Amino acid sequence: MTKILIVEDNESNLDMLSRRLERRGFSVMSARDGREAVEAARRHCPDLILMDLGLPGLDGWQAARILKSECETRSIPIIALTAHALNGDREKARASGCDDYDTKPVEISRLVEKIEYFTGRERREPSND
Amino acid sequence: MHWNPLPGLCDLSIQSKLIALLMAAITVSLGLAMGVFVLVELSAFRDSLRRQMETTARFLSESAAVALAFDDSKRASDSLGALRADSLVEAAGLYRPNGRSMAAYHLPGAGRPASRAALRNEVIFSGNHLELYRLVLLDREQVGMVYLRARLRTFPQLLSRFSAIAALVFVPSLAAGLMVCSRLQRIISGPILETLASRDQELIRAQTELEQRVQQRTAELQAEIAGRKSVEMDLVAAKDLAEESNRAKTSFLANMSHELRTPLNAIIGYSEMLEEDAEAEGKQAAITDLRKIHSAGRHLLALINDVLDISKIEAGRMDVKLEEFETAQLIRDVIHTVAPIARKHRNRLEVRGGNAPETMTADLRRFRQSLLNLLSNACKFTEEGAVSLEVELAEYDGRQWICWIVTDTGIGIPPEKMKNLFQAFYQADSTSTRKYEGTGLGLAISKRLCEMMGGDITATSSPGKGSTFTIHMPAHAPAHRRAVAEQEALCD
Repeated sequence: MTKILIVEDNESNLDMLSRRLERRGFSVMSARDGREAVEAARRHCPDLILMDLGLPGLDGWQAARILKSECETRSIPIIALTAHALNGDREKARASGCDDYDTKPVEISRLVEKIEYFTGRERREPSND
Repeated sequence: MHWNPLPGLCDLSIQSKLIALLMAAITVSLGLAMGVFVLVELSAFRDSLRRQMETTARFLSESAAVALAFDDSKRASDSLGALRADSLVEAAGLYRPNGRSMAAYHLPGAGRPASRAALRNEVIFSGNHLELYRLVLLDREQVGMVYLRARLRTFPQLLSRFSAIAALVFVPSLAAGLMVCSRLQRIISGPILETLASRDQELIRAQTELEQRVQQRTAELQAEIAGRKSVEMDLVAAKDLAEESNRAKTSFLANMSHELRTPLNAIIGYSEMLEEDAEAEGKQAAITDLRKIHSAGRHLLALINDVLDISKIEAGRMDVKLEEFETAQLIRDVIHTVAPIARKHRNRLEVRGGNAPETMTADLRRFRQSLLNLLSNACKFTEEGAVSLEVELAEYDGRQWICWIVTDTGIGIPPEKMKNLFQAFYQADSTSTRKYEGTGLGLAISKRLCEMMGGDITATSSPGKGSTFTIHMPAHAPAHRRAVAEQEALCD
């Protein structure tokens, strides 16, 4: 089963996203901030991380940078999720080492497509936006 | 260098110089006159002395002629003795024709008369003496010779007397000259000095005026500099304030975006989830309601996105990033995205070949947004008709353009509404916002985005028949727009 780590500080968003992913057959674990995310990634080695960027404390960009700089977590694909719609976020997410980027509110079918693309469930180019 | 004969003269005033010059001229001319006077007087004195001595010599020769003829020494001595009364003669002598002395006389202390060999008339001035030789004739026969020697003792006295006289004339003349000079020099020096004085005054006045002007100008310049500095400081402060408020605005936009989307995220997400649950449980009534919530949430999200987009454009915070992409892929993508709307309104969706280039350079996301806006508008405003997308290469205004032509067979736009078509917060029919779901910002945003990428959007329409919207994009990419990465960095 594909293990997904959701990093999200907003309870309802976390609850909703994890339930919807679980319903689609993913195993979901969660972290509330960047520090927890780094620790969870080291301990559980998820297949993919959905990273909210605007986190309290250690934010998503910093967490992504740390994860991408460490041997054991480097290979885990990270999809950045943010409510920020401004133009630079996509580039910032890429610069921090995130593999892809999606804006919230997520369109679940598109997100699942991306997850499947990165976890190798289905080798298909996901559409942007 | 100018040769100056009298260095001291330079330091004197012009009056003194004039007086000195005139006095020098007077002195020279008076000196010359005095000299000439003395010389003339001396010469006259010598002449009169010579004549006097010649007269004495003639008397002596007449009185001594007989004595000489008869070689009578005693009478000769007597004749000489008569000379004692003459104070001028200091020595005298009578000579025989053979040159031998017959009688001699001299004043005590004076030298003896000289002996004389050659007998002839002669007058000799020697030193302080006048010596006179005269032949003595008796009946035209030479009987001897008279010798007289006069002392010119009186000559120096005479000279000093003349000098005294000269001085007596010279000094008052000089004094008179000085007086006249000092009065007359004013005729020359007066106007010069007046001119000089007035010129000096003028110069002083001009200098004072110049200094005042310089001071005034300096003060003005200083004031101006101070003014400019203060203006500059104000400008810098205003600029800082503007930048600060711009940063604040951008930051506010980013935060608003975040704050608005987070609850919407939950609304849309949960409604979608409940919809899935209701579908699984077959609760049809709940599905309809949940779809309404979901649809309202999506609409609100679209509104927020559009308002944020137009705000960013108005605030000059929207930046386009040009990249090269494949046109075929983009066409497939937008047709795929817009297909559900076309289906919903029972429209035929067509793509016509044209002569589209394989690649295009633009901000892919923003261009896609614009094209999608035109296509979804066409699908929304057309019922059971046709919506077509045609891409072709055209050349006008001396440039090559890629034209993305979106044509529909929909309701069209009345002519009076055409001019406001691309204005923000505007829809062809104010009631249409309800009927045709949308924000009224889509066209304004699309047009502005295309303009930012060097292109434009134009529209033609016939009401009741349909509309054509064309995106004109430059076939050759314009210069890359200024990156505002550092401003975006402030967005989080």
